[in-house]
Amino acid sequence: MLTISNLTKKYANSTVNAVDGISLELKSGEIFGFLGPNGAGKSTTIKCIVGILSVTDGDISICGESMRTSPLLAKKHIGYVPDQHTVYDKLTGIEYINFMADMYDVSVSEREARLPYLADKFNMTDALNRPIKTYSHGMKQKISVICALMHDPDLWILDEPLTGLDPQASFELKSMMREHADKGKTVFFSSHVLEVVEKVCDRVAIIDHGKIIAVVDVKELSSEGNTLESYFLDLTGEKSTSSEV
Amino acid sequence: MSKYLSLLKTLFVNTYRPSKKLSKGQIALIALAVVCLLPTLGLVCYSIYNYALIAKAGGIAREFLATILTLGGASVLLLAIPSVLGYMFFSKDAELLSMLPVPKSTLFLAKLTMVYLAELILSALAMIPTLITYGVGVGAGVWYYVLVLPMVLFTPVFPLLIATVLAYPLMWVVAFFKRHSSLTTILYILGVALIFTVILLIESAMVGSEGEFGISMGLLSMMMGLYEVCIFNKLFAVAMLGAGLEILLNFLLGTLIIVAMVVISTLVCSAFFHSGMSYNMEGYSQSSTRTAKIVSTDKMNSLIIKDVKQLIRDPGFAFQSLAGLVLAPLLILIMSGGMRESIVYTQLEMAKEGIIFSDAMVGLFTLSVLSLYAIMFCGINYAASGAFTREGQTFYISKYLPVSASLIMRAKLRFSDIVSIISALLTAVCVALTGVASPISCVLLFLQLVMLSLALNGMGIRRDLKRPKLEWANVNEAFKNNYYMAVPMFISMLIGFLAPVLAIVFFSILGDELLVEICYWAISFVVSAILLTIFRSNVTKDVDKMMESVE
Repeated sequence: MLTISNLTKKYANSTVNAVDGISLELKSGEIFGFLGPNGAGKSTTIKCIVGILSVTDGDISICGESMRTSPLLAKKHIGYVPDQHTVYDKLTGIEYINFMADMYDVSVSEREARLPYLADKFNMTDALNRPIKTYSHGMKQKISVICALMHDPDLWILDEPLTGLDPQASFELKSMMREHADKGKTVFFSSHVLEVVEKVCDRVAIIDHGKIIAVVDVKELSSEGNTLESYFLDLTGEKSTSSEV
Repeated sequence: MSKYLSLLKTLFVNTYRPSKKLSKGQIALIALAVVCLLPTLGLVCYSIYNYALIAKAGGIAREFLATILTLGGASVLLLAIPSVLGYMFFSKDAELLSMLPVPKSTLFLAKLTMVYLAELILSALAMIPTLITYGVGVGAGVWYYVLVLPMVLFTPVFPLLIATVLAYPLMWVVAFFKRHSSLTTILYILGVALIFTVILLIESAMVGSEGEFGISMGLLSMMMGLYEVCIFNKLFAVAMLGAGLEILLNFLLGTLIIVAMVVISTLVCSAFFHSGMSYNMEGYSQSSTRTAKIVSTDKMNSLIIKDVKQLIRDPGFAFQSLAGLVLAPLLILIMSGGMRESIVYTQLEMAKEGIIFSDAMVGLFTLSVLSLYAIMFCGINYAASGAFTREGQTFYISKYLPVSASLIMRAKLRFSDIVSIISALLTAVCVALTGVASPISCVLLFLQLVMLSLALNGMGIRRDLKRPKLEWANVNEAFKNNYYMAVPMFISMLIGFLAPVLAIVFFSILGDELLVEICYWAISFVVSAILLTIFRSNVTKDVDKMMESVE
């Protein structure tokens, strides 16, 4: 579904690689968590995957389409929920959804089939005709999620998706992630909430200083009597403490 | 095509959908803007009409029309470069657009169309009265007036394409100096200033030399040169003033060239569009090995330092706020040369008819005309009139800081006053360098500019706090169509026009040179002092309540 091969990203004029030769293979039907301390390279990796940032070296392939050679085809397979909310806040919710659906070639019948379900799930039906700038933080997040799912993407990528969501919406989002994976599609999300990642994800990758330092199966980890939190801190906490000293 | 239209519709709605219906105050402001523009427009039309009569008599009506079209384009170019950079590259929607499965050429064209629409309004305001006046002057036929509308539509196209091409080297400079953001800002302002200078020098060379309505050899040869180089304007001029099949053929050929240029530019520029946006998105290098230094200062200084650093590290906003520092003196330097020649020519012509103007009088009149431009720049100090708007959503940080609103206001005022004082000093030095005025007059001009700037800064900053525009995605959305920010500019235009009017009135009613100078400066300082008292004496009054009311 998603293949990252030796991905390297170096920012202009920087002497270090923000992402340093990482490789990952995500399978269909799994929820994959992406963890790392602040500044580890999570957002840079995600922005490379979705095509916001160009890659310095390596390649990213989504459903067999290379982001380097056929970016438009690759992007069509992705639904992305960014960590920053929509910037077109003078548009109403429905105008923004229609705009995003236009961009992903979603037919009117598909929109009519999906939107009521998604809007209802997030309790947004009554808010769709209001300008986005009147929305709360959580409502903006919900609109981003609805937009990302309008074209039923093969790969659903979420960057810190639970921030600002109320408990009900948070629950709905987690169950939708599972539903999406159960349809044979893939969910890739980054979060700092380790308890949620542990509950929701099938596998987890941990990135630190731009390198993947571990890829673990959550069930196996649990069967060994480890928690994700202790495992994560063992891998990253010791380094942080020593560098602070 | 459908993606282009959908994207364009979204960008258009997001930029132009009004938050609320126009209030009475806003309608009054628009009326004030029109009133302020009328004298300028009147002067331009008067000159164009006289030029049209000469061009017709000299048999160069087509050449002169092509020159008007070219100058209109050059003026659009002056305004387009910051817009292209701000809207196309330094925009907050860059990330969102980059991830969409939409061809780069579609993104590029949609963004370019948005800049085009913004420039089209300016093009229409300038070109419609100019072309109609010229048509009347040369006694043009019906087809001329029919083709005025397409000309207005075409005028911004070529300059926009040039601006886009020029934007790329500027973006590379930004990328190259990414780690030194302040240096980037300085280079950005200087780069744009350089382009301004080249265009202004060309325009000045074309209109400055032989005085009133004579057409000099320099202008004539420049006109002929442009007539041959700007081939599409030549074709349009022939179409507008031609007859029969000549109209259709030349118009179609000109249109074809414009379309071909758009297609070629789109193909070339869109290939680099994503990398252009990336320069802005990729942020700053995180590889600095410098040790973080802890420093402490008082609240006032800390607020000013924060404001200065925020501003100079954002080239788009820095340009809008600090460009006056460079552009006002530049404009004075460039204009003074042509203007002095023009006034000396008039002095000689008047002398032939027995009307003698002394050098001192000529000097004061030249200074008053230069003051007009210098005073106009006093009113466009966005460091003051956009002081709160440019903070965007971070404005709300000011509301929860344990710092009084009046201190925040005073810190912003102090920063914008420093910008104004430096600009006034540079302007006065430039006037002194050109030798059009005595050293004493230059000092008086400096003092007058400082007083007016401080007054207009006070007014601008209060108006901005009253209605800050905090929701924007880019510098264009923040500053363009912001009526409240434009008020000080309109007032400065009105005061600016007062300067040459005063000089002419005193020349007419007073004979003594010294008396004329004394009266001119006395009135100028009285007006400046009144404005300073009105706008600065209570500048922080009720500022806490004003800040509280911003939600």
